[in-house]
Amino acid sequence: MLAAAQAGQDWAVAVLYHAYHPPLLRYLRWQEPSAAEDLTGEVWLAVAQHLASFRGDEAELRAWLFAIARRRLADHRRRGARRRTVPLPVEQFAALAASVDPADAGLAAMSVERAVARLTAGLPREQAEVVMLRVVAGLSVEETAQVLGKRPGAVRVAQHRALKRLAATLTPDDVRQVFGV
Amino acid sequence: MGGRGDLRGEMPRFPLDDQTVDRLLSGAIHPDDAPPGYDHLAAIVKAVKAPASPAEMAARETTVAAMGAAIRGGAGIGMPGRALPRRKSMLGKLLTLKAAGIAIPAMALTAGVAAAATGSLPSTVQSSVSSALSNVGISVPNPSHSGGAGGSGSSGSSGSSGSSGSSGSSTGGSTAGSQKTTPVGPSASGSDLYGLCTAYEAQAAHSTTSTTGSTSGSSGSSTSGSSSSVAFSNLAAAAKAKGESVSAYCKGVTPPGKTTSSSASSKGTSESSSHRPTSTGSSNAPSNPGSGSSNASSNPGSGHGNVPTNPGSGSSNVPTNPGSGSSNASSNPGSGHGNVPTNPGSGSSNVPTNPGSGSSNASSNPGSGHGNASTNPGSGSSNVPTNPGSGSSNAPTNPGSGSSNASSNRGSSSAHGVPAGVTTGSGSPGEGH
Repeated sequence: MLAAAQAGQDWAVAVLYHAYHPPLLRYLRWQEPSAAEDLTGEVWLAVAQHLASFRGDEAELRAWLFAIARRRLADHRRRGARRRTVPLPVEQFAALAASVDPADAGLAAMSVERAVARLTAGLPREQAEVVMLRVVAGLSVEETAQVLGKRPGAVRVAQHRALKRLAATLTPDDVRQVFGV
Repeated sequence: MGGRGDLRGEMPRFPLDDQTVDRLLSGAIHPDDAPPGYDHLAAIVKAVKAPASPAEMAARETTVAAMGAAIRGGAGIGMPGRALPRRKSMLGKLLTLKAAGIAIPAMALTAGVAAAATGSLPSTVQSSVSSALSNVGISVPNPSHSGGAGGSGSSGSSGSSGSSGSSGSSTGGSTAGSQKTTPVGPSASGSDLYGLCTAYEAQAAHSTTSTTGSTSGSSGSSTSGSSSSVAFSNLAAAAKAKGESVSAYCKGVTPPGKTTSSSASSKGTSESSSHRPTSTGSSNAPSNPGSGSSNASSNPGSGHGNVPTNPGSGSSNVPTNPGSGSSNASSNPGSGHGNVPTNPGSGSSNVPTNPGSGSSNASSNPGSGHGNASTNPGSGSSNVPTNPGSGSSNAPTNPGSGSSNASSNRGSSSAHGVPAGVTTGSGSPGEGH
C-alpha cells in the first residue's frame, strides 16, 4: 500500500489519509486549536512532496508524519502566529464541556475533543505530549522518543507518571462527560 | 477526586508492566478488563481513539485527489498540454494558502468541500473554489462561468478572493444581494485600459505561477483573472463584447504615452524580511512571495494597474498604493497576520484583501475611493476592513469563519453595495454583510 501511495495511486493515498488524518488533526487541534486545519494541510502538503522519497515501513511513516507535524507546528509558532493556550484546569473542564452545543459540533467530534482535553488536563506539558503521541498518534515508545528528541527511557518514565496521575484523578463523572451521558 | 471504592484517591497499587502500558495506551484494553484503577483511563483512551467523524474527513476527497496529483507530478492535471513543474505544486496552492497568492478559504478543505461539489457555496466563494480545484483536475460547479465574473450571490461573501489574490471584491462588483447600485470602476477603455490589462495579467500570472510574478501569457488561468472586481468585470465585459478573451483583448492595448514596462520587481525569497521593493510608474508588480515579514511593497505616485502582493505567510506586511492610482490590488494572501494593505488617496477600484487565516488584519480604503472592496475572507479573527471617507459602492466583508470581525463604512459614503454595520461572531461563509 505504501508503495502504491508513493506512486501516486489515489486509492492508496486515500488509505493513508483515512488512517492518519484523524489522529493528525486531533493532535494539532490539541496543540493549536485555531490553526489546526491549516497546519494539517501543510503536513499533507509536505507528505505529498516527499512521500516518493520516503524510505521505511508504515510504522516509520507514522512517526515521520508526526515529526513533520511538529516541525510545522514549530514553524507556525516561530512565525508568531501562536495563539496562547492555557492549560485547562480540571475544575473548568466540566463547564467547558457543558457549554458546547452538540448540534453545532457533532456529538462524535465533541466526545473526542472532550476526551483529549480530559486525557491531558492537569498533566505537565512534557507528560501530556508523551500521552498524546502515544495515544492519539499511536506511536511506540521508541517512535515517540525519536519525534520528541528524547531517550526511550525518558519517554517511559514520563508515560508512567502520566498514567499514574490520570488513574488517580479520573472519575466516573469525567467518563460520563466525555461520552455525553 | 473521590469516586468509588477504596481504589480512588490513592495511587494504583499495581505497577504496570510495559506491555500492559502499551496495550492500555493503544486502546486494546476494555475498561472492564483494565487493571484496577485504570478503568476510567481505558475508557478515555477509547474515546480519544474513536473512528473519524464526518467532519474530520470532510476534506478527504479533495485532499486525496490533490495529493495524488502532486505525487504523480501533476502532469496534465487540469491543464492539458501543460506540464506543471513539480515545485509549483497545485497541492500547495490548494492546501497551504501560501503559494502564488491563491487564497482558498479554509472551509474549502473541510466542511465546505461537499457544498462546493454541489455548487451550494455562496457564488463568489464557489467560483473561487472551483477555479482552484480545477487546477488539480477536480470539477465543481462554477457560477461565474456565465461570462462575466459576476460572482455574485450571497452578499458579502467574496470568500476567497480566490484565484487572483486580489479579487475579493466580488461583493463590490456584483453582490446579488445588493441589487442596488452597481459600482462603476474604471472603464475598460482609454487610458485606464492599459492599467486594467496589466493588473489583470499580473494577477493571472501570479495565480498560476506561484510566486514569481512572472509573466502570464495568461490564457490559461483566465478564471483566475476573472475576479469579479468592478474593474475586472468591466474589462471582461469589454473583451466579451469583442468576442475575445481578456488576454487576447489586452494584447492589442498600447500603453498610454510613456510607460514603464511591466517590471515585476519582486521576489523576496521565502525567508526574506524587510524587503522593500518599490516601483513608480505603472504596470508594476512588486511582490514578496514566501514567508517574509515586515515587507513593504509600495507603488507611490500615480501608477495604474499596480499589484503589490505579499503572498505566503508573512506578517506585518504593508502593501500600499498611495496616491491616485487606479485598479490597484493589494493583497496579503496566505496566513499572514498584522497585515495592512491600504489604498489611501483617491484611488478607485482598489481591492485590498487579506485572504487566508490571518488575524488582526486591517484592510482599509481611506480617502475618496470608490468601488473599493476590502475583504478578509478565510478564518481570520479580529479583522477590520473599513472604507472610511467618502467612498461609494464600498463592500467590506468578512466571509469565512472569522470571529470578532467588524465591517464598517464610515463617512459619507453612498450607494453601498453592502449595508454598514457590524458583523460579529464566528461567521460562516456568506455572512459577511
